[in-house]
Amino acid sequence: MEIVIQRFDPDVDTKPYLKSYEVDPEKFSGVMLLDALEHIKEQDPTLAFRRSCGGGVCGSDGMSINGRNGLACVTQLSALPNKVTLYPLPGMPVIRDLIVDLTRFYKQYESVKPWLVGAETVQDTERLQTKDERAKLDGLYECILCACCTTACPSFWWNPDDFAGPAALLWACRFIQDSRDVTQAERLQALEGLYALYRCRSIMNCTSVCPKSLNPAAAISEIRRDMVKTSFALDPAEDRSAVEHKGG
Amino acid sequence: MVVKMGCRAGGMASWMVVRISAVSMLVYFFWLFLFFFFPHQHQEWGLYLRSTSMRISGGLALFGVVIHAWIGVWTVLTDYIHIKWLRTVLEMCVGALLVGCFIWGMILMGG
Repeated sequence: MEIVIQRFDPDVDTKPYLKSYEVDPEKFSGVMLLDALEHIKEQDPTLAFRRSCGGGVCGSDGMSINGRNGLACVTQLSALPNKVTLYPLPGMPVIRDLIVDLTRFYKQYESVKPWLVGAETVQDTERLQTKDERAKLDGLYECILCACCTTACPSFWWNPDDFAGPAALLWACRFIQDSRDVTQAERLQALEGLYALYRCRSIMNCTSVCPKSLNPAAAISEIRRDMVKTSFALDPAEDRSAVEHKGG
Repeated sequence: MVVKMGCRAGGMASWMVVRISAVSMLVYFFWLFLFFFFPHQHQEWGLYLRSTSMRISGGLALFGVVIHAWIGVWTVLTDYIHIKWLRTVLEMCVGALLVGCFIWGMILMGG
């Protein structure tokens, strides 16, 4: 099979170019695209790409595979056509070959405060959740921050400094939905502007490409629903404190 | 129960306006479609469209079209046009066009 890879070394090249590699899947072990890339790297050590766990857990090897973002380590060669074209994740500055600078992505992630803020009262016991409260986090906490969704989002390409992007918003939703978090109102308030949340135009690329089959678009809708609820009717944060009070 | 101000400024306000105006347009045009679907004489059309209820609902629907279009075009312009002066000029042109359409539509419906 033929694997065409965008190559770019800022120390040598003035602009990116495509380089073609012929790969025989019989000549190396493994059935994933990442195995083929490792095989190519043995022949051409100048090729640069990120990888770590090799099992779809760390999210390091995100790239554009035939125009669609995905993880090389969970992409089966048998599922690909004979010619495969690989580009770095779109919309991000390229450091070298398939490696992009994810600083902007992590800044957006940090902007939603992706950590639990519990009640200040020190408890002797764990902060327990009911099964239903815990179930609300399913489909949210599994994100591995591979950046496939965010870099597939046109709204992020157009407004990378202002729109938080699907991954960051999925994480925002994860903490807004967490019954143990006491800063839901502040979290929602931080997303109220014209861009951070509402620049999502429901294009759905994020959900389409997520290698973990998560649904960031649904998470974004969930945040919007929470925002409407807190504006017009019952304040979920107040409900929550009532429940905590009852439980405590 | 905590009732806060009706609608938060910024993102949520425009997001809700787009949806509410879309629903208002849908209801109005569906109603119009139902009326035109059944054969009527020209005089009946005239009487129906000149009725106070249709004038008010027509005006609201037209306002919905204008505000819906404005938010949509503004979003597209802020996405694609990053040269500030050019964007401002285009926004002013679109704004003037939409206001013109609204006034023209109101004159037609009022006539």
